[in-house]
Parts: sequence; C-alpha cells; structure tokens
Amino acid sequence: MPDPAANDVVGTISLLYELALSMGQSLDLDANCDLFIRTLLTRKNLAFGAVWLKASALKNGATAEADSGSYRLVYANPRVRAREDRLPANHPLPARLGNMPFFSVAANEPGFAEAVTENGIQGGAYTVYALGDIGFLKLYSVLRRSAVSPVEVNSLRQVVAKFAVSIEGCLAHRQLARQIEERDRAEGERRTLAMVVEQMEDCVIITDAAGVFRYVNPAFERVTGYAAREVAGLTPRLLKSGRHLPEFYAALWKTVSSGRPWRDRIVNRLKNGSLATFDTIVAPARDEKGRPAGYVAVLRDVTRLMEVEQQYAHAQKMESIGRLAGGIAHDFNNTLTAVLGFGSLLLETTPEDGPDRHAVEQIVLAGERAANLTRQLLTFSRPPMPEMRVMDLNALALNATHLLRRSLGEDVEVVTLLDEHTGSVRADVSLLNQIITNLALNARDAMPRGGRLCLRTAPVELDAAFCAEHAGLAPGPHILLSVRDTGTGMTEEVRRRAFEPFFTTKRTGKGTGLGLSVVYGIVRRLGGCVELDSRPDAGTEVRIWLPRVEARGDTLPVELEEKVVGGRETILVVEDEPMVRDLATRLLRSLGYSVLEVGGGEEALSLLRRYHDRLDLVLSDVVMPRMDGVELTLQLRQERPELQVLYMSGFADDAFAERGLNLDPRRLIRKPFTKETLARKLREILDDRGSGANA
Amino acid sequence: MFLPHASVTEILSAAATLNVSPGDTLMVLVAEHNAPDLDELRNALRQTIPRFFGGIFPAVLSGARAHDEGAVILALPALEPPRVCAVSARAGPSGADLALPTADPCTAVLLADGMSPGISEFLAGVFRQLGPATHCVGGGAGVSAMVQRPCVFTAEGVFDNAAVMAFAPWRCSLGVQHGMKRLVGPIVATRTRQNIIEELNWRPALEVYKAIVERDTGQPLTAENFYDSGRAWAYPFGLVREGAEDVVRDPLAVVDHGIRCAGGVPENTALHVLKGDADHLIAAARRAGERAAAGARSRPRAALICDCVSRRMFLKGRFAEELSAVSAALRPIDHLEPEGMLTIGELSSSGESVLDFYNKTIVVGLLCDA
Ligand SMILES: Nc1ncnc2c1ncn2[C@@H]1O[C@H](COP(=O)(O)OP(=O)(O)OP(=O)(O)O)[C@@H](O)[C@H]1O
Repeated sequence: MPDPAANDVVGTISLLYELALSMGQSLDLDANCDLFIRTLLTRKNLAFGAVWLKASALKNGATAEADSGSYRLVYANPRVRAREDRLPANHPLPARLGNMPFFSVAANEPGFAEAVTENGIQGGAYTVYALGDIGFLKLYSVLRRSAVSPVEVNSLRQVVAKFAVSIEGCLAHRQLARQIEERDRAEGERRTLAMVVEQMEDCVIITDAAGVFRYVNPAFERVTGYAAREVAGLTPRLLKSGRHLPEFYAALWKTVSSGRPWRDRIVNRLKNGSLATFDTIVAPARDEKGRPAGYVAVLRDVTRLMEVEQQYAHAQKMESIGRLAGGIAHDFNNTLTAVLGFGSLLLETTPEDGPDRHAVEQIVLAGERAANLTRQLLTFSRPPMPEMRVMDLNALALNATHLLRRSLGEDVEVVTLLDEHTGSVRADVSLLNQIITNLALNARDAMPRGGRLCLRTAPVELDAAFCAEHAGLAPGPHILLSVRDTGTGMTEEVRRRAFEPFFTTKRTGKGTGLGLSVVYGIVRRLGGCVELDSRPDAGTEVRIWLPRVEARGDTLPVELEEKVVGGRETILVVEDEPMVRDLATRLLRSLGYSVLEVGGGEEALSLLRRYHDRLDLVLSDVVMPRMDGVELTLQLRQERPELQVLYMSGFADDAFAERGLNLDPRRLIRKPFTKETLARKLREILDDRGSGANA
Repeated sequence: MFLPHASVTEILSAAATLNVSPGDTLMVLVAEHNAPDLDELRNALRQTIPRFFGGIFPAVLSGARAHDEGAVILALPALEPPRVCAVSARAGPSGADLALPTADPCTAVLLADGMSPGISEFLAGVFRQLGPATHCVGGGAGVSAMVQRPCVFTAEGVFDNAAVMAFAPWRCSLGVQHGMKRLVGPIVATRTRQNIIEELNWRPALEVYKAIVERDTGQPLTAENFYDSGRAWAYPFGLVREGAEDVVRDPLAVVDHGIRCAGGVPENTALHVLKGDADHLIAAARRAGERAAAGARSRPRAALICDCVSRRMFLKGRFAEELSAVSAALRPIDHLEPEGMLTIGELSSSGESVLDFYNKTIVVGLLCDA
C-alpha cells in the first residue's frame, strides 16, 4: 500500500498537470478562462469561479483614466451567479490581495461578507488568488466549512500565476487583433477613398510639405494633359498661367500655411498651352501625429461652365442693346436716309474733279458707316424675322463668297469645303449673308499680308452632352458652318471679349466692334450657337451650329452685280418725315418715275381719288401719326384692289410685331436705303404685278 | 404512474386520468421493449396535451422493479414549455448561450441523447447558465444496444444529439452515488478526443487499460471480447473530483488503440481505473436514497430514480437488490412510489458543484414543494 501522503502529492501534481495544460489553449480570453476554470471547478468540486481584471489591463480604449484602477468581471461560471461586474479600485478584495498573493476565507470568518459579490452565497468558503498585477481569480466552494488551508491554497499558486500569464497573452492577442482589425478597417477605408479619388471628375493633387507633387489622380492627368510621372518632382507652379498677380499666390500660401483651407477660382495653364479655370480648394494635410504633411488640392474645371455662364450673360447684354437700338432706330434711320440719299444725289451732280467732290464723298462714306452701324445694332432686336425662308446653306455660302470676292482682295485665297449633304436652315437670306460677310471681313483684316479663308459646311447630329455645354442648342440635326483663316489669331484676352459689342482692337474709325456680336446675335436668333477657336499666330476658326430643317431650301441665283433699273410708272410717296419724303421723291424721279408725294394717309386717299387710274404703286412709311401705312393700304385697296404697295421702315422688326402688323418682307424696304435697293425693290414688285395678293 | 403496456392508446388514456392542467408538463418515459413509434406517440399526445417531453430508455423503474416494457408518466408543474437544445456532435462548447429560467427554486429535469459525443461539453455550457437556485436531475436516453437513434422528444419532434428539458418550480433533494473503488491511479489521460481516450500516460490507452484489467482478472482482454465479456463494465474510469466520489466513465468500445467512453474525458485529466463489487454498489444505492431523503426540506411530490443501465449489467441477478435498497431508503416518505428509468449516463447538480455527466451511477432525486 503506497504512502497516503505520497498519493496526495501525486494527486495534486496530476491536478496541476491537467490545470497547467488546460490554459493557453485558446487565445480568446473567454475560451481560455472557460477551459481553465471549468477544469478547476470540476476537479476541486467548486460551485463558482470568476476572473476579475483591472480595467487598465483590458485597455479597450473606452476606459476613462479615472476608472482605470477599477476591476471588471471578465469571466464567471455559472454566469448568473455573478452579482457585480465592476468593483472599485479600493474594494476590500483587491485591497486584501495587496498584502498577499492569495487568501481563503470561510463564511464564519471576518472579511467574508465583504468578499461576496455573487448571488445565493450561503456558507462555504472563498479562495482568491492575485493574477499577477492584472486582476484576481475568485473561487467559491459551498461544501467547505472552513477556509482552505494555506498549504492547499499554495499548491495552486504557481499554476494560477501561469494562468495570469496566459490571460496577459489573451489580452495582448486581443489588442493585436483589434489593431489588425483597426488597420484592416483603415486600409479598407483608404482603399475606398483611393477608389473615389481615382474615379473622381475633379482633379486631386497631393503634395508634400515643400509643395512637390506626391500624387495626382487620373482626372488631373486627363484635364491638364500632364501624366503623373511627368509631374514627379515638380510643383503645381507648373500650372501657373500668368493670369494672377503674385499677391494672389501669396494669399494662397499664407492661408494654407496658417492651417486653413483656401478657396478661389484659379486660372491654370494646361499642357497644351491653353488656359482653364478651376474652382480650387487647397487644404493643408496633417499626418497621424498632427504634423503638417503637405497639401491636398481639389480642382474643379469650370472653364466650360464659365463659358456657358458667359454665353448667357452675353446674350442678355446683346438683348438690351437690341432694345435700345430698336428704340432709336426710327429717327436715326430717317436722318440717315436723308444724309445718304441727298449725299448720293449730290455725288451724282458733283463733278469728279470739282473742289467739293472729296467732302461729298466723305459725307456719303460716313453716312454708310452710320447706316451699317444702325443695321448691325438692329439685328440685336428680337424676332419675328423678316423673310424667313428655308435656305440651302451651301448655295448661300457660295453666293456670299462670290459677292465677297472683290472686298477680300487679291491676297486672300478663298477655299470652300461644302458637304453636299449639309442641307437647309430656316433663316433670312440677308442675315445669313451678314454672318458670312462679317466673318469674312474679320478674316481679311486678320490677314493683312494675305492668307487663306476656308468656308466649310457639314451636317452634324448634336447630342445632349454637347448641347449642355453650348447654351442655346437643342439636341438634334444641325448644320455646321465654319469660317477659318490663317491670320494673326487672338490672344486669350481678345478671344474672351471678341463677342462683346463695341469691343474692337482695330483703329478708331476702322472697326465698330460689332461684327462678331452681330454674328452672335443672329446665330442666337436662329436657335444656333457660335464658338470661337483662336490662338495668336495660329489663325482663327469660328464655328456656327444652326438647326437643320428637312425641307429642301431655295437655291439663290448668284447675283454678280447690282444693276440700277428705273421705270416710267407713277408712284405715290406717303411719308410724314419731309426729309425722307423729299429724298424718296428725288430718287424716284432720278430713276425716271413720275412721283406724287403726300405727308399722311388722308391726303393720300384724296389724291388717289383724283389720280385714280394713273397710280401704279404707293411707297409708304409704315409708322405715321393719325393713319399708319397698313390702315392706309386697306383703304386704298377698297378703291383700287390691284394697287401695289412698298413699305419703308426704320423700325426694328419687333416694332411691327408690337403694333400687330405682319408685313410681307418682300414688300418692305428698310431705311436707310440706297438708290440701288429702292430701284431693285420697285422693279421686283412692279414686274411681278400680276402674281399673288398684296399684304 | 407506471403503465405495463406502452401503446399510444394506453399512454393517452392514462395521461387523461392524470388531469394534466394546461400549465403542467407531462413527462413520458418509455421502455425500449415493444415501445411505440416515438413520432406516432408525439403526434397523438399533441392532440390533447400541449406540453410534454420524454425519451426512450432500456427500462423504466417503478417501485423496486425494472420493466423492459411499459412506460412511466409523470405530470410536473412547469415554469415554461419544455425546451429542446441541440447537443453538438462535434467538439466545442454548446449550450452556453441558452437563456435558462432563473426562478428560485427551480428544478430542471433533463433528458439527453446519452450517445451524443458532445454531452459533457453541453452540460458544462448549461452549468455556466445555471443559477445556484436551479437544481438539475436526469439522464441519458437511448437503447441498451448502445446505438445512437432519435431518442428524446417534445411536441416539436423526436431528436438525437439533443437534450429536452422541463423546468418545475420545485426544490430537488439529490442523492448521487456509484460505490466503485479506485484500483489503479492516478493515470493521466494524455490524449483524448471528446469521449475517446487515445492515450494514458503517453501510451496507447488500450494497452495501458488492458494491462491493468488483465493483471486484476488474470485473464486476457481483447478488442473482440472487450464489450461481450462484461469485463469492461467491472473496470470503469474515474475522473477525480475533490471531496466527492470519482466521476465514472464506462468504457464502451475499442476505437483503434483508444477506448470510447460514455461521456467526455478532458485531455490531461487525472483518472483512476475503478473496480466495483456488488455489495459496494448496492450499498451505494442505498446511500443515494438515504441522502435524497435526508435532504428533503419540504413535502416531496415525486421520487425520480435514474439508474445506470451498466449497473444492471454489472449486478445482473442482484440488480433487484439495488432497487429494493433504494426503495427501503426512501421508505420514510411512504406516500411516494419511486419511479424512473435505466439511463445511458446520469446527470445532476444541486448548486453545490458543477453539473456533470456520470456513468454507472444512481441518481435519486426527490422533487419537493418549493
Ligand atoms: N478672324 C479674326 N482674326 C483675328 N482677330 C479677330 C478675328 N475676328 C475678330 N477678331 C478680333 O475680335 C475683335 C472684335 O471683332 P468684331 O468683329 O466684333 O469687331 P471688329 O472686327 O473690331 O469691328 P467691325 O466688325 O466693325 O469690323 C476684333 O477687333 C479683332 O481683334
């Protein structure tokens, strides 16, 4: 029979062996505690076991500093037996462990009551072990009547110390797992962020503290034209446009280096040399420790947006000019008609070598310039358009270039590239001519030493994206009309302002600054859009898109020369403005017509009754006091239904509309008119006498 | 109430005489011989009784007799409807996240699939949930052929790898004994896999065990006669539990060079090879009865005996003496006829120590008024 004491030792050792191996099997804190304490409870026949740890040892970040000395229950078996799950740092239990690494206390001993933190404790004894300096292990046995003997308690001391180490391992693992999780999360976030930045439409620049590029996103590469590797080692000064004063950049740096973000619109130069405007935010970036680490800039390309904005602003400006022009046009045109008319009459009667010849010529030239100016201004007025017809654009372009040939001079080569499928637009012939003329003359002016003028037409289909960037356009079939020259081109500054009314770089007296703005106005009225592409010494291209109509357009015969043809018919001039009436009378007489003249509607009617059968045509002003031209015509028609009428007007088109008048443009001549125009109009009407009704 | 014939009809009509109130739970223990189809029984019961649970066992006990055929039914007041919990067939804890009632007092009657390998882990999980007020009594269900099959049921179904539990607002006075004595030990189970001991003292388990048994009996023990000879029943393992009898693990079969036991054996645990003799076992049964009777503080309502099927195999002809001994011990409580079953493993806890799974043990539970 073996020595019973020796047998006890073997028993204890085998228990220690099992306990020692039951710990550290899992890095999970609960699983580790569970295995160890379950073994302990089973072998030692205990009713309860618990692990308490210092909040500071748990280091879960959520612990307030003041709380870090307190204890948390991290494991209890059976769980529901636990009553408290927190103990203050000064609780008697840990306090008692401060003096010795373990103790046992039975129900009948002092100090037991204050050790109870569980439910249903009656009798029995606690055994408590310090777990290193991170917490304590608490065991309870119902069956014990007295405290566990120091020898017995001591036998477990070392294995409990190992258990403490295994718990530290679990905590370290937990910490690490958290860090890894945190890092994974951060990395995931970073990946998401990177993805967003990579796919963003806005340009993103990240620089180091010295301002050297560290990262640019694909949008940056796309927009600026610089590849990421090209900008490596460089700074964003690369993009300087020269459009901002040094103070502008100084303010930027001052703001960001003081830690605040800077926001403004900035003009940058792209790789291809062109300028672009960016809404820009530059923000200082800090590393994890809060030290300045560089700068992050987000740039939104607003060049297009601004152009569209400008297009709208421009359209509004033109409209108000149009309104103003319309208001003064009547009086102004009457005056000009007189100046021009009398001037040309005078010119006819002044000998070529007479002393007054030069002065008269200058009067007529000045009058023509003024007339041109007024006419340009009047195009800013709003529809209805006169003589809206479906026009074959190619035919019109050909016609216009023929007419222009002489004004362009010998040194300008004219090339036409007309796509045969171009098709037609609905427009007024004279307005379209005006567009081509203005552009061609600008081109000529830009090529003082000659060059090439290229006129191109093509059918195009515009999509919504294109239209979004070009104010005034609607998606669908369009015609592109391009006028390109090999001239001096424009600086960015000039290009930006070229469409502004009265903006000119030409000598005083040479340019009105209205050419392009008129083109703009006309194009807008036709529901189209105009775009200017130009760089210094690289020529200029003006592109115009007009809505295409399906119907086949008229093809105009090419008019090579205007001949003045007079007639013998009798014409009644009705005009309240004596100067214009006088002029018209004289012009008509000089063309061979018999002329009667009156100052108003009533007179005209009484005259008609007297010269009933002798009148062939009435040339009447539209707007007159008492009885206007239309009213007059109605009355005249009652007497003489077949009587022809030609109206004269100095008003903008919308002036008619406002009066509710809808005049046939073929029976309208605009003031100021030249002798040639008047002669042609008269012949058109008089020779066409039999066909169609009158207005 | 004992029923000699466990047909569905008889169980139903007997249940009717018990006047099971809707708040009560009916416990149905069925002996394996001529047992009704459990699913049929469950379906029939469901028609009339809302709450019931039960299992099939090698035999049912009534008074001092074991019946291989028949049934015992018992109505329990219930805190809640009976529960079914999965007992994981694989390693790892289960049962730890059950929300068990924490009424005071509370007695849980627990019937588990006795062949489920995860049963010890499961009970450890349940124990972590149990309040000190909850007492636990019950045993492993199954059949004497020791093959796993669906063996426990509630209204919800018939299950294997599961435990069914009913909670009654009663106190339970327990007597738990086996009477086996240590023969050799301590030996360390240096490698185990749930209920299989693979190594003892770093050597193949069978080799070590065989040497011990052969030395004591003087006769060879082979893998083939391991079970048949009944030798193994005489030499179970005992897991150390301080201040109490060792927790018995019956060897059931040889697996490679290891030994499969009824119930889990923790790795690295110290154990002894135990040896029993009939007198000791019968004396232990009496002691269990006496302890239970002595512990009762209020009026007992039922006496439940869960006696291990391996005790009958071991005691053979003298098994009746064991039951008589228990009955005799309970005689002071003369108004009660002890009832119960032969189990494939027993379980109990009284709030004094951990809930565990035992073999070759007799558990006597006196279910008493609160
Ligand atoms: N084809 C061109 N090449 C270079 N510069 C041009 C061209 N067209 C226009 N410009 C510039 O734009 C300015 C404005 O042009 P716009 O046609 O509005 O007026 P203008 O040509 O100056 O006057 P006008 O129309 O009376 O001749 C011009 O003064 C010129 O500087």
